[in-house]
Amino acid sequence: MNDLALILDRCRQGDELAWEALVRQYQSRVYAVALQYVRDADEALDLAQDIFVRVYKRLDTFQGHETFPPWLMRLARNAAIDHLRRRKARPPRRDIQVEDNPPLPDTGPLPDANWESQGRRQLVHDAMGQLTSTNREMILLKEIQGLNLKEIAELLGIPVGTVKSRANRARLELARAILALDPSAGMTSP
Amino acid sequence: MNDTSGKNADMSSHQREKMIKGVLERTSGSPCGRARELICAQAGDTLEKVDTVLLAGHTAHCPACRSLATVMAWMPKPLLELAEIDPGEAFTAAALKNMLPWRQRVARRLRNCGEEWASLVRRPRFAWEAAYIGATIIGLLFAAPISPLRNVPGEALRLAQANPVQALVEVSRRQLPMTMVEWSDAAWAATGGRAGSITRIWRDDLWDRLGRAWEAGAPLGSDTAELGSALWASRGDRIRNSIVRIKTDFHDIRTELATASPRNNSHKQQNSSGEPHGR
Repeated sequence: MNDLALILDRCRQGDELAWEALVRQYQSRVYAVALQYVRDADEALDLAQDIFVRVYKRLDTFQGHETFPPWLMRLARNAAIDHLRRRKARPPRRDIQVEDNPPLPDTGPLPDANWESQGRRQLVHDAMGQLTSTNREMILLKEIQGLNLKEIAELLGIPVGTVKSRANRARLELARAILALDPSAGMTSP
Repeated sequence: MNDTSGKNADMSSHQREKMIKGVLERTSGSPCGRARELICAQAGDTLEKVDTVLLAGHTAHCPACRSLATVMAWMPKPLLELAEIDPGEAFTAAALKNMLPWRQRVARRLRNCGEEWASLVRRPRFAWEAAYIGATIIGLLFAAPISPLRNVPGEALRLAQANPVQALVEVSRRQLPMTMVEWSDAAWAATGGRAGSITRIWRDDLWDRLGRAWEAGAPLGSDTAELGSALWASRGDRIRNSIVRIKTDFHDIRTELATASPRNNSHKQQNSSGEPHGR
């Protein structure tokens, strides 16, 4: 039994410390997912909390044979869809412009962090905002969260082949969006 | 001489590209679509060796596909860096606060509400604020154009300015005794005016007593049943006597009619039977 399984087991028994450990372990990941769905830092905080509340309430439904990240992604996705639906029904007081992407929050201590990598990260984040929701979700699940094709297919309820073609298309669209935002990005060597 | 040959070489390169483009347009079409497929596959590390060579050959001469390939090559790293974003120090505490069992949350909220209310009441401005809020509510209730209670203050003022007893009697005369009037008219028609006049007298007497009861401060209610009960309680003996009197009168009338009818009938019978006898 690995550490995560032990922590989950303790969480189910109502151990607050285990729950805190789980929140601390996954909060950055959940917040990153929430941010990609709602594209607003404050809303993403609310959504991330909502996702953790759902995890807390439904932890008993998590089966041991499942891997935790895809299960968490499923809950996060459902919570994000509900949140967006509510937002559509009751729009926020201020419009969230796609061009008005807020600066990306600090992604934590990165040893090799420099202005170029931060600039690229911000550029990719902005370009994600230009994508359709389908393509953005595909990039989020496949490239950012690193789920495999089968997990994405199960999560979205579509065939693996469709996931593959959509992932390729989404990656291409993202590259085009990056080039549209900054044409010099295509001249930089990797 | 060298410059001229270099210029010639450039021109030939340009012409060569133009020629290749022309051939491709007239045959297989633009290869950029296929190149982009290969760029995607290259990003996924599923490209065959021959395709790698072909793609390199294309991107060397196609700036658009080269830019795309360059971006696709560096894109995975910043994408992976987006996988985790620190939501800040306060997030964990806020998230854990939301996980408390609902009973504890409700208890905490109630406790906080009590404390907040106590601190709110202790503030010096509380009386002013309460008065302001109360006035606003009253204003909205009685002055808003869509409020159903909008006419209430005007009616109340009108009633207060008028004689309350007279107003009550007028309203009662208009609304309550329709059945009594009808009953009185029916009695008038049925009894040739005798019982009808009695009920009319009784009705007028009842209204007089109603006015007197009001002036005497009898507890009259707004409902008809309450009004009747109050009257009965305050002037019960006199009303009861009136009703008994009416009842007695009706009984007398009925007796008179009953006794009169056989007499008339027998008189008619005597007349009708007497004639033949006389004849």
